[in-house]
Amino acid sequence: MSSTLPPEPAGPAPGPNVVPAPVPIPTSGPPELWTKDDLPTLGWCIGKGIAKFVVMLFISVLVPLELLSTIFGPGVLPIQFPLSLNLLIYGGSAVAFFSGASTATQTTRVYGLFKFLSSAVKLIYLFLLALVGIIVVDASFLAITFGFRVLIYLFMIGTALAALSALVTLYEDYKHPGDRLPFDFPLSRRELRARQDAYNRSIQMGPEP
Amino acid sequence: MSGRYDRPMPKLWRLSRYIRWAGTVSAVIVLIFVVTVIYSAIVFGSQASSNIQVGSNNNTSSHGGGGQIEQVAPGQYEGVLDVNITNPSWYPIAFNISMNALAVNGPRLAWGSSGLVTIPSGNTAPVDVYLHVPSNTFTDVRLLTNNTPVTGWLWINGTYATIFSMALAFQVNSTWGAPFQGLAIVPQTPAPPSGGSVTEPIAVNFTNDASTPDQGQLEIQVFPSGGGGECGSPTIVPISVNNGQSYMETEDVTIPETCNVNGGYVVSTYTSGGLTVTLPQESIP
Repeated sequence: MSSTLPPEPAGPAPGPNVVPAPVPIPTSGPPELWTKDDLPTLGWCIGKGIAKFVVMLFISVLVPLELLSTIFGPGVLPIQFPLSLNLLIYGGSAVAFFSGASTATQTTRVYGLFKFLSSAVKLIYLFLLALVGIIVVDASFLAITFGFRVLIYLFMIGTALAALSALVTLYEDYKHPGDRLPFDFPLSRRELRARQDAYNRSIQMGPEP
Repeated sequence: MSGRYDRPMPKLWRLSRYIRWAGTVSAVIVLIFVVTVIYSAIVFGSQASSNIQVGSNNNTSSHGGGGQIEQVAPGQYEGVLDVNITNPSWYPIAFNISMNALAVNGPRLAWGSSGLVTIPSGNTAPVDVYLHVPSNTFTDVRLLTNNTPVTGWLWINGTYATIFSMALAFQVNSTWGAPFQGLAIVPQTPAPPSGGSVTEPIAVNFTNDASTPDQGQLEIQVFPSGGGGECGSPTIVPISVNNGQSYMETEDVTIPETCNVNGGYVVSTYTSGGLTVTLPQESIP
């Protein structure tokens, strides 16, 4: 413990009645006194990943399916959205799966890989969506084709940057395993202060016998 | 316990985070852009009737403006449909207009296009749709003398805010109102010859079913049977018939006594402004 504590403040050695100055809590920088015990358990991460998978499945598959059947379904409105149901189901499920998997593996070295796969699958899904990219309103006397392909390409920029970020994380986990963990899972401000106070008290009480 | 007082954030971690932030910011910007585009498009759509005005330009082109059609060369008729479009939205609109008119079970009567028009945000721009009317429109389909069912198509292809493409296709089924509907030019019993010539009364009947008045002149020429040149000089009759009104007049045409018009035919030519069209000929019994 003492080998990793911060160095003593500079200056003359304090006398027996001198209270050492408390170590200031940095307002920025890494969390202090962080240990691997502060990481969430793998079980917790898997649970969180499953929850995210379910939410993403709802957002990317179930809601679009419901929309397609209520708005674009045959005989509902004269609107056609030529999106394949297979693309919606399989693509949306893949997006949800990798999104959940990346969350579940956030404390492990394969996090970067799953994060990258999640972004890559999203990119492919968006690209396939862009290939469809039109909505057709076809009434008897009027036909409107509305294209939004470029819009999807614009959204792909953010996803591509996320993929790039994941690649950096993948490389970081390979070169410096575990370095990111204190920053990905920082202590809460209250916990940080409590540990700082405990540390200061231990300084005041002196070394253990 | 491993204290981390003296360790800065890892560079790769920071780099990864900055890239991720950039991606998030770009997605938020795109999202805000989309919301404003949709709002702006709704504003434009709700005021479409006041933003689009047809026939309001002072067109000075060599072609007929204001929807008037004129002859630019033998057998070639052109006109310009003037449209003023205001873009009150926040983003530019770029589009072109194309149109096509087909007679039902018949040939193409007219077509036109505007070329690419770009209207910046908050601007008003004139849009001229150049119409081309082939000469056979007037001869094959007899549009001038027969009300004809017509199918019209109007296409508008364009982009809004640069990124959204839009293609509209309207189909309009209507009946073309002929300006000389039921034209009948019927020679009457000629007066006795006098001084080497015969006065041939010719009854001219038609109804103007077009949407514009017939204002111009009608030139009537009589040709003998068996070919040959025109009998005498053409008779020019000024006409002014409002739309929806009928015209029933008898014009006296002076013909040389030597010209045998029995079995011949009458040719009439309508001239109005820059437009000159030959109406279908009528046989003389």
